[in-house]
This record gives sequence, structure tokens and C-alpha cells, in this order.
Amino acid sequence: MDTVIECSALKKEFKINKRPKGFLGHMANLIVPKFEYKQAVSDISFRINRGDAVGFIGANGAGKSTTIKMLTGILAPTEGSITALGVHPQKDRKQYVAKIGAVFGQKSQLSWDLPVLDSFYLLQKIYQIPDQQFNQTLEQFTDILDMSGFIEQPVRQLSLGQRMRADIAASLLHKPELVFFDEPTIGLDVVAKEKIREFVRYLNREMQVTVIFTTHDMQDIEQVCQRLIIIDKGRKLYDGTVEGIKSTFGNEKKLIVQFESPACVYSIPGVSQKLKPNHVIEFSFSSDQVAVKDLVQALLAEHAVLDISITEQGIEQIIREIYEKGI
Amino acid sequence: MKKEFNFSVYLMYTKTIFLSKLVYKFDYVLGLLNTCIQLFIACLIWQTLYGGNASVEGISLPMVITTIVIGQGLSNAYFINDQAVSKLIKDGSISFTLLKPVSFRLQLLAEALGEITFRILSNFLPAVIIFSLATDVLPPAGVLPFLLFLISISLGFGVLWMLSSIVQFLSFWVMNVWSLSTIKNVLITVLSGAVIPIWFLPEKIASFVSYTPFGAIYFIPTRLYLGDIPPAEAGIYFTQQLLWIIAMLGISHLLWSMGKQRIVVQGG
Ligand SMILES: Nc1ncnc2c1ncn2[C@@H]1O[C@H](COP(=O)(O)OP(=O)(O)OP(=O)(O)O)[C@@H](O)[C@H]1O
Ligand SMILES: [Mg+2]
Repeated sequence: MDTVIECSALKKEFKINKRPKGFLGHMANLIVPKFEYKQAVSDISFRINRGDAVGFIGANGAGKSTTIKMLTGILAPTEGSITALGVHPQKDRKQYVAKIGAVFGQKSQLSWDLPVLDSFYLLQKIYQIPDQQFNQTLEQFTDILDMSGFIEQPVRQLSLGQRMRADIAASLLHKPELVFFDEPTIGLDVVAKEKIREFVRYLNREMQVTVIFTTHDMQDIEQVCQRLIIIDKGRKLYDGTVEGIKSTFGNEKKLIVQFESPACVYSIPGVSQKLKPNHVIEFSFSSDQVAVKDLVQALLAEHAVLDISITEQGIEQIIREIYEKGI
Repeated sequence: MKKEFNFSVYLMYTKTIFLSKLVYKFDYVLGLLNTCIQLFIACLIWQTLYGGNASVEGISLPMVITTIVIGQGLSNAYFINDQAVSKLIKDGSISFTLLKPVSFRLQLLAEALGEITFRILSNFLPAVIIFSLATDVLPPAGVLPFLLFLISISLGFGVLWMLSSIVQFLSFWVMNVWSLSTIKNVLITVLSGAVIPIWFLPEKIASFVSYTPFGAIYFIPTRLYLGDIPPAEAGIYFTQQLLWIIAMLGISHLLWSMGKQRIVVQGG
């Protein structure tokens, strides 16, 4: 398959001025500044193929944005190498950035005082997009992202959700083949999030655009991405399919049973019990050790049962456990 | 690797800045007033210094006034923000700048030219007209000297721009560009001949200036304009201006190539 990005042993260190406390410390710092190095990214390698939609997740401060900035050629890695679209993102910057798009949910690339449409026209000039292609793309985006209501308004008058949609459109007008989204759904309501997911899905599935997507919302990942990369403290923890993480880590099931009267269930190997009010007992077990069928049959045979429900661990929960405990 | 240079993109940056300046009408009325007051005071001082003498050291008062109006008038129009790069880095917007398939350095130049063109049209030229009517600003020594002046003044701007770009790119190493910028601006004010024509500088300082780029900004062009440099010798001075541009371009290029590795983007 066609490789779009290949990066190996990426590392990024930030130099931080460590200022001692107090007046004397301040003066000493002016003369001999003390520095500390902070590793934002320690060792990250992966390969991304054409047409992939990759979710890039990790706790706050894990190094996601830093990695994205290196992949887009904005930041130079301290160590390691990146080849993207067959070039070196920093050395061949102009050539590279003409073919990529990047959306940073926390910042806007649009001019505060200009109507959205004017910013789009500037971008048309910068990327030298032919009129016909530009108009066609614009019409299409206005439709899908529902922008007709605010496209003539200055950016400072837009709501966050509107601004985000305008920013996304702005980053894609030149039809990039590789697009980075750094938290494009941050702070948006359910409907706005859905619109953005739908649009990214459309880009990826219909337009064969390669997408890299960071977010803290697992629904974004489930609905948009096939592949998931989890990083923690600057290192890669998991790299595989979204389904894979569920079957590898998400095999814990819960059986919640309400009994007619207070019941005492003998301990079953591989199953832990938790007593709840109203004669409810919660049984937790791993689905590859204990079969649900056997457990239910055993309970029904011995006790009078009012109600049974079963829950699987959602991806949200799996990820939370991975962030807390590691793999 | 294909390298294409698209002039229209840069022209658009220039135009966008130029048009955005048109909005602030009150600003340019004040700016013009400011320039006129400055030039008026400078003329008054030189008139007093001359005290009725026709010429001092072979330099007539109208020559001095012409030098002042051109040099000081232009230096008001040449608005270059030495902190442009460090501001882009501090507010994090450098990421979007670097994400565009545009030469970063040419974009900086194009945007600066937008502002400067605006100031030349709204500030410098009106001031020149006002002072030509009110005082003894000399006309160019001839058509040829005037053409040579136009070439030389463009080269002079190149020298000034390169000085500024060196200061701007030092911001990758020095947190506070402001102090460097101030030192540079003071040196230009004192040594470029815009305030005190170099004819009147003490000989030691004047010979020092000839080893610096400062005299190449306003003073060489003005001397060509006045015919103080005969057109036949213009080539030597053009070469001098060009050499300064090339030398400083080399330094600035080196600083940029090393500095861009150090770009840090602030904020999530
Ligand atoms: N400009 C900088 N200077 C110093 N340290 C930085 C800088 N930018 C990021 N860091 C540090 O690098 C680490 C990774 O930051 P990064 O922004 O990549 O995290 P992230 O995974 O995007 O987090 P979030 O989910 O909160 O956006 C953090 O510990 C942060 O403090
Ligand atoms: Mg981030």
C-alpha cells in the first residue's frame, strides 16, 4: 500500500527557562540563565497509509499536538526522521504544505475582522486555486457544513461552532490529500460535533483524503477512524484498529441481577461480586474466562430472579483505564 | 523539486495591507501633521545654525533642507516592525504562516511594502509638496540625477530592510528584540545623515560611517539627487549599496536557516 507518512523515533525536547524564586534568584537568572529540558515527545514511530483515518489520542499533555506540529513541518524534531508525501516536511516546506491541510481547534487561521468569504478568497490566491474549482468546492462545503447563514459575517461575530466549521472549510479549500485535525470538536455541542464528524467521514471515504485526528471524545474516534494510536507521556502505547482495542482490553462484562429476596451466592471462580441496594448483585468477569450463558443458567437454577441486565465496557471506559494504569 | 515563484501572491499581501490602512483616515492626517512638525522644527534649527550665511563648508542651506526633507521624511514612511517575527512566535500564529506554500521572508517583505507604499503616498509625498512650496527644497539636479536617485533610493531601502531582517531573525535567540531594535534605530538616526547630514559629522565619525551601511540608506541617494555625486560616479555608489545588501542578505539567510530549527510554537 501507498505510504503517506513514515516517522521513526521522533523526539521533541523543549527548553524551559527555570527561574529561581525571589529577587536574588531573578538577578542570578539574568546573568546565568538556568535551563531545563522537557520531553514532550520521547519516542514515537509509525507509518500511515493513503486513505487511512487515524485517531490520535492520549491524556492532556501526552504530546499529541507536539507530534502533529512536527508532522506538519512547523516544528523541527529534536531527533528522529519524518518523511511525508515523499518529502521532508521542513526542508521542502513550501512543496509539502501545498498538499496538506491542518485544523487546530484551539486557534483560528481566519482574520478576525474579515468576513469569512474574504478569508477564503485570500486563500484562493495563496494556493492559486482555479476559479472554477474554487467555486465548486466552496459551494459543496457551504452546503455540507451549513455555512450559508454566516459566510458573509466577520469572524469575530461567529459562534465557536460556526467559526470551527469556517476554519475547517478554510483548511480544505485547496483539496489537500493529507489533513491533520487537532481537536476539531473541542467545545462544540452534539449537533455541531456530528456535522464535523460527518464531514470528515465524507472527506475520508468519498474523497480518499488521509486523515489524522486528535480528540478527547471517543465518539469522534468510533465514528470517524478505523485506526487508533494511543500515546502517553510522549510514547506510543497502542497502535491498531478501534475494534482491536475493544476485543483486547474491553472483554470485561458486568451482569447485574436483581433477586426477589436477599440472596447469598457462592463465589464462582473468575467472577467478582458487588452488593448493591434492593437485593441487586453486580457480577464482573472477563468474557474469555466465563461464559455469560453458564453464569446466568447457574443463577436462575438456584435463585428467584426478578431482573437481569448485562453491560459491556465502552471504549470510553477502556481508554480511561489505559490512561490511569497503562497497558 | 519544482520551485515556482508567483509574484501575484506577494502582490496580494502588499495590497491587502495597503487597503487595510485606508480605513484609518484619522491616523494618516495625524501622521502627516507629525511629519510636517518634525521637518519644520529641523528646518528651523538649521536655519538658525546657518545664521544668514549663504553656505557652510561649501554646503548651502537649501541643500541641507533638501537632505532633511528626503531623509527624515522617508524614515517616517519606512515603517518596519522589527518585532514582527517575535510577535508571530509569541502569539503562535507563526504556525499558520508556515502552513502556507509561500516564502516566509518574501511575505514579510511584501507586507512591509504594503504599509510603506501607503505611507509614502499619504505622508511622504504630501510633506514633500508642502515643504517645496513653503521652503527652499531644491529640485533634482537634472533628469539623469533624478533617475539615478530613484534607483539608489530603492537600493537604500534594500539596505534598511536587510538591517531590520537581521534584527528580526535574532529574535530566535534573543527574547527581547526591542532593545536591539532601539540600538539599531538610534544608530540609523545618528549615522545615516537623515538628521545631521554626513557632511557636518566630525571627520573621524564620517570616515567611520563610510565603513558602515548607514550612509547607504538615505544619504547616497540624496547626494545623487542634488548632483553632489556626479552621475558618472554613480556606479561606484550603486556597487557599494549592492555589496551591503548582499553581505547582509548572507548574514540574514544564515540566521534564518539556523533559527527556523528553533521555532517554538506556543500554545496547545
Ligand atoms: N512551547 C512549549 N514549551 C515548553 N513546553 C511545551 C511547549 N509546548 C508543549 N509543551 C509541553 O509538552 C508536553 C506535550 O504537549 P502537547 O501540547 O503536545 O500535549 P497534547 O497531547 O496535545 O495535550 P492536550 O490534550 O492537552 O492538547 C506538555 O507537557 C507541555 O507542557
Ligand atoms: Mg493538544
